[in-house]
Amino acid sequence: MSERGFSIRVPAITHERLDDEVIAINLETGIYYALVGPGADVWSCFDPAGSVGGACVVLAARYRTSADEIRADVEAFARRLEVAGLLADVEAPDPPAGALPVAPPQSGWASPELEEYRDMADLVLLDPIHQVDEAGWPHLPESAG
Amino acid sequence: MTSLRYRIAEQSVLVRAVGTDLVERTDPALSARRDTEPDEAPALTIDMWDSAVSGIGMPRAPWVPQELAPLGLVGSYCDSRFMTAVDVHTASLSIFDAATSHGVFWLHDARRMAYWQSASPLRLILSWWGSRRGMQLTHAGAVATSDGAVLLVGGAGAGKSTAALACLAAGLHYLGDDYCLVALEPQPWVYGVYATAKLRPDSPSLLPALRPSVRNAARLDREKAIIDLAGTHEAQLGVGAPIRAIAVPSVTGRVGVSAISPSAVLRAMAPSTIFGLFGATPGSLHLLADLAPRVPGYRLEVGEDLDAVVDAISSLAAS
Repeated sequence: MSERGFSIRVPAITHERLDDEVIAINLETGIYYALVGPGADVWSCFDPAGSVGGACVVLAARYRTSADEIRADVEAFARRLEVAGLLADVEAPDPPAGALPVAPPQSGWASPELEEYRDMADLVLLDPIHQVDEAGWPHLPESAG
Repeated sequence: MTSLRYRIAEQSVLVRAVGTDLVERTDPALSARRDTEPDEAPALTIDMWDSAVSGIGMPRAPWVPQELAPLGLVGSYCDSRFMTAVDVHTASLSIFDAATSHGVFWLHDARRMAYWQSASPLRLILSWWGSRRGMQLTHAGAVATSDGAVLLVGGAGAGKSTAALACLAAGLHYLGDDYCLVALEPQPWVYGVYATAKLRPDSPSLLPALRPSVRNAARLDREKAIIDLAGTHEAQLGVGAPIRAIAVPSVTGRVGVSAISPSAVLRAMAPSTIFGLFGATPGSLHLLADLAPRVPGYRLEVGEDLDAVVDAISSLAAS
C-alpha cells in the first residue's frame, strides 16, 4: 500500500517563501498564515506535493536528526494544514518531497507552528452566490451610493 | 459617448463611457493623470456603462451563481487571457481581455457608486492590466522626496492615509494613500494612480486646508472623507519614483522607526492587496515577495506629532 501524502491546494491557496518564513493565503476563507522555521520547511516538502515519509527523510537530514524522531510532528502539522484547507490529502506523489533552501536552518528542530491571521476574513463573508438576482447580477446594496 | 485619455504608469489609457454620469464619478480620482494631447495608441482601453442611467441593460449572465468564487471571481471566465469578477459589494462587473488589452466595466447605477469605489475606480481592470506589464497594483500609500519614494503598506486603519497626507501638507510629492502601481524593473518603482485620499472625518490629517476638497462632506456621518487632490495639489501629485524604503505604519501614539524583515513587510503588504483585488492574479504574491527583500523595510510608529512622522519618512526616502 502506498504512503499517503499531501499537496498544496492551488489555486485556492497562494503562497511564497522568503528566507525562513512562508506566507500562505487562503483565497476561499480570507485567512492567511505564517509558517516559520521548521513549519516553513515542512511546507516546502509538500510544495507542490510530497509524502510524509519523504518529507521526514529530507527534514531529518536538514536538522541532523532521525526521521523517526520528527515523524509525529510532521504528520500532526500536515494534518493541521489540511484542516486549515491549505493542504489536500493525496496518494503518495512523485517526486516525494519538494526542495528546501540551501542555507542551513536557523535553529534546531522544534514542533512546527502555524500563525493564523483573520483580519481580512470579513472580505469574503458576503456570499456572491446568494447576492445575485435571477439574471445573475448582484443586487444593489442598500448602503451604497 | 465620453472619451478620456489618461497617462498611468507612463502609458496611455483610454476610457470610454456611455453618457457622463459614470465619468463624473470616476474622473475626479484620475483627472490628475489626464492626457489632453495623446500621441500614441492606448496601451489599455476601458469601456464602461451603467444600466440605470443609460437605460442599456445587461443580458442574463452566461454563468450560474455557483461559478462565482468566494471573492467574486467568475472561475469559468478567468483563464490565461480573460479575467472576470462580479463585485457584490458595489453591484458591478469587471472584465479584462489581456490579448486585446481591453477592459469592460459595468455598474448597476452610476448615481449610487460606492464612495470607496469612486475614490479608486476601475481598480480590478487596472490591476489585471498592470500584472501583464510587470506591475502590481498594491494596497499602499506612497510619498516621495527628490531622493525617492517610501511605500506605506498595511491594512485599513494602519495609518497610511494619515502619514501620506501629513507628508503632502509638508510639501512632499504624493503618489497615493490607498492603491499604487509597483514595478520591479529596472529597479523597484512606484507609480501614482489616484489623486484622492480617504480619511476618517476625525483624523488629525484632515487639515482645514483640505476640507474644501472633501467631495462627500454631507455624508461624513456614514462615510470616510474622500479628498480630491487634483485641483488643489496638482504640482505635488507625482507620476512615479524609485522605492527607497517600505514602511509599515502603526498608530501607537509615539513616533519611531525600527527595521523589520522582508517577510514582515510581505505579511503587511500582501494580504490586503490580494484580498482587496479579489485574489489578484497568480503572480501577484510572487511579485510582492520579489519586492520585499529588494528595499529596506521598517515599522513606522505614528503618533500625534505629524511633523515627526514627516521627518521620519523623509529620512527613510534618503536612506
